[in-house]
Amino acid sequence: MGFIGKLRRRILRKRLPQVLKNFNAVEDDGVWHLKQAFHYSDSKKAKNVLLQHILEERHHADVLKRLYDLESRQRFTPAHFNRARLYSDFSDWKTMAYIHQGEIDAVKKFSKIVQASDHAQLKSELGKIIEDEEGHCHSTDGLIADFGVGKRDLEKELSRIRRIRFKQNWLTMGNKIGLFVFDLFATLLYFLLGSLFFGYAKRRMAQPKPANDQMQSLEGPV
Amino acid sequence: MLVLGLSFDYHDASVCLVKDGELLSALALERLTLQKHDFDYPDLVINELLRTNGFTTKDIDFVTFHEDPFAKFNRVVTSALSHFPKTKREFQEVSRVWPGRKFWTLNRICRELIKRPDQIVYFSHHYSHALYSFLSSGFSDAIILVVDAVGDWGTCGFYRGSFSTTGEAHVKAIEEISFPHSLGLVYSAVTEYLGFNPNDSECSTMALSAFGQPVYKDFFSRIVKLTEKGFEVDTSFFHFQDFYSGGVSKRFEDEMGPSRKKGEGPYPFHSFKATQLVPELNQDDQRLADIAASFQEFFEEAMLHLTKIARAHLGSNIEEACLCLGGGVALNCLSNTKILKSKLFSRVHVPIDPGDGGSAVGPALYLSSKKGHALRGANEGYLGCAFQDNTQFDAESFNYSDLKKYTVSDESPRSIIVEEGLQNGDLVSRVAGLIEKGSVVGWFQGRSEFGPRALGNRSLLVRADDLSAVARMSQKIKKRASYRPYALSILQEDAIKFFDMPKVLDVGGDRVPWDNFKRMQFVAYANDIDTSVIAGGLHVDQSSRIQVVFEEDNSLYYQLLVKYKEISGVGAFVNTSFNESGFPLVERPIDAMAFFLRSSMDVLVLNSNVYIKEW
Repeated sequence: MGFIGKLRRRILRKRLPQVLKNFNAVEDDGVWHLKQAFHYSDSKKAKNVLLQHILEERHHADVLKRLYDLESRQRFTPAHFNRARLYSDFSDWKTMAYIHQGEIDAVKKFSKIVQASDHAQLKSELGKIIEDEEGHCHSTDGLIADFGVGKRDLEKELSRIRRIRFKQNWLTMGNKIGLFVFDLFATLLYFLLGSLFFGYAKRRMAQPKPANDQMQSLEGPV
Repeated sequence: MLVLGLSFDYHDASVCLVKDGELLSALALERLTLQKHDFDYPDLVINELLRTNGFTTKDIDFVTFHEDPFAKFNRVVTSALSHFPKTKREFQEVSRVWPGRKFWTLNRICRELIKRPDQIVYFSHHYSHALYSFLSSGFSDAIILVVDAVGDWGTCGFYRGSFSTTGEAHVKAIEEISFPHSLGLVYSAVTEYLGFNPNDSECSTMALSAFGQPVYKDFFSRIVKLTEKGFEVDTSFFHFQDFYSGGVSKRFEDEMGPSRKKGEGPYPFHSFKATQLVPELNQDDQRLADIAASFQEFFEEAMLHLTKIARAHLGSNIEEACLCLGGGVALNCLSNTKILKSKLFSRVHVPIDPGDGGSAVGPALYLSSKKGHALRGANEGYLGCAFQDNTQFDAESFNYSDLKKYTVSDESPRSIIVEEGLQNGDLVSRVAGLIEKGSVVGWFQGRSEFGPRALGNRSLLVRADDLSAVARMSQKIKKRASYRPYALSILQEDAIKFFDMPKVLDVGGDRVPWDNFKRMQFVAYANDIDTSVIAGGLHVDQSSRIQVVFEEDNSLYYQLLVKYKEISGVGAFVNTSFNESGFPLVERPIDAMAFFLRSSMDVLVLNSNVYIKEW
């Protein structure tokens, strides 16, 4: 294994619990979107497929949680996701396209982890998940075709989703760097304010505070 | 006038709608996002409730918010600086979330809902709790005691609520205890010490306490001093301000021993006394159970102490002394029962969701009252959404053999029989029969319950004397720890027969306050008779958090119980919340169906449709 491979392996080992936790949350987010699709869909055939997906994705989330429990000394608390409707008006095929792209991305990400890891159980469990996700790619493909969506429209929508995801990934990375810089600034501010106002803050904490029973608005008391 | 009540940004975001003083709907965000205690801006719920009730955002006249973000910001910054230099991480966290987001919460509401600033009305957090607690009580005059972890500054508050002759509500603050002196935070810290998730699993601490002896009570009496005004916490035993360092401090662990770590396994206690199971204990299991018992007993005394202070505030020339409890701590049914039995008050009320979910409702109701509307429906319990059963999938061509790979129980049914369109009489007969035969039944009806308790619209039901079925529900469906007891839904005559029902002092003498036993907020202890027919709903100390079901509260559920009694001879079965471990109560049919297929649940009843697994 080359240097890059060894480095990847080392980074993965260190970050593995967080990675597993995040993937658990991603799978549960997938379940949520699948349930939205199920709830709003009128097609019995689509519901069958969606139901199978929901159960499998939920199972994947369980597997990832189990792997986290093996790898981490911390108790599992699920990562939080901001749940947002994909489209203001529900669309069967567009939701399925979003899910389809999600399956493709999941296969890639899990495969990278499997390659980088030397953990036998992890490789085995993720290998099964990858097989399932590949199966999902085929079935969502089939379902979208059943909706009578043309290849061109589908490609256009998938491309739009990929662009949004790419932007989200960049923003996430930028956010991490931004937070790092921001935390440095906050630390400086903390030491400045702390050394100046520590005494005042301590006195303020000890003071009794009157209970507030007012109705207020941004324009003053109501 | 339409008022939208909001709570979000800390935990248990929720939304309510009040139209001309009538509480139309209320729903927690977690029910739609399936993330327990979800705290995000609840636009999903806002849209759902508006749509269900036939409104749009344009129809909203006022929006109320459950917290004073400016006071809270003041508190978090002061707290971080007062503990300098140990609170660097906490200050970083404050800097990340407050200037960019939380400080501008009210402006965000204006922007999202396109409202003017004078249309957004905010209240302090404890005041919000007090308002809901009082306005849902039906009392004309009451003292209100609010206890929780922390709101803006307050951790414990006394209020007085009354109605004027014109019907306008008045709720005035009397006194408040401020952060960092917090009973709620102590409870959460002890919960974490015992190995449970704080702000989520305080019920586990309560459950565990039944297996221990209060041998360490003096320790807690020493670190939380009960005073004339309330209490004072010796915060050197906790990390309330430098919370990234954990719940309890090293000083606490030096005196009480190490906390329960991950990997030390679940507590081996079993809540069914009747199973005769002898747990394999190690010394530490018993030590921690004793700590749970000690703290729970101390906590109940502390709450009783606060109740006495509340009683003193009310004065002595009151014919009918009424108490309203609010804040997350009011979910502690053992302490609620102790307060009830003390007879300090002839009437005690706990709202259906005394926690942060309920804090969205009180302000909306109060504003409506102030604007001249008579309040209606404030104590309603079934406030969520009702759904048609839209889960009809092709049951015949569904691949059941694959289910084995994906279920929590490694089992899969041969097929699922669907019985559609059963009307009330046939439905209750069918389902009562299935429960009587030992099936675990997922019961999904009508509008969902507001708050954390399942009260017969989103419930898992199983016969209370079939301990193997109850155990199967724990292990293969709910994935629930063995020491956590189940609760019972029970008819009034059976409650009288099996339980020593607590009484309160009334004008005519002692009476059973039946209203207090409708929502699993208080416990009763079994009589000294053969209780094997309800053993599955009793804790090891013979207590049960019962729901006495009356026809006027839930007609269909009542009929189910009556029918079940006809068949089995007992008007009670185990009722637990219809949710998977780690997830909120099911809200929509697909949530119920997915859980049904994944688990060992035998039967799913979705409105008038019954799905029965053939094993």
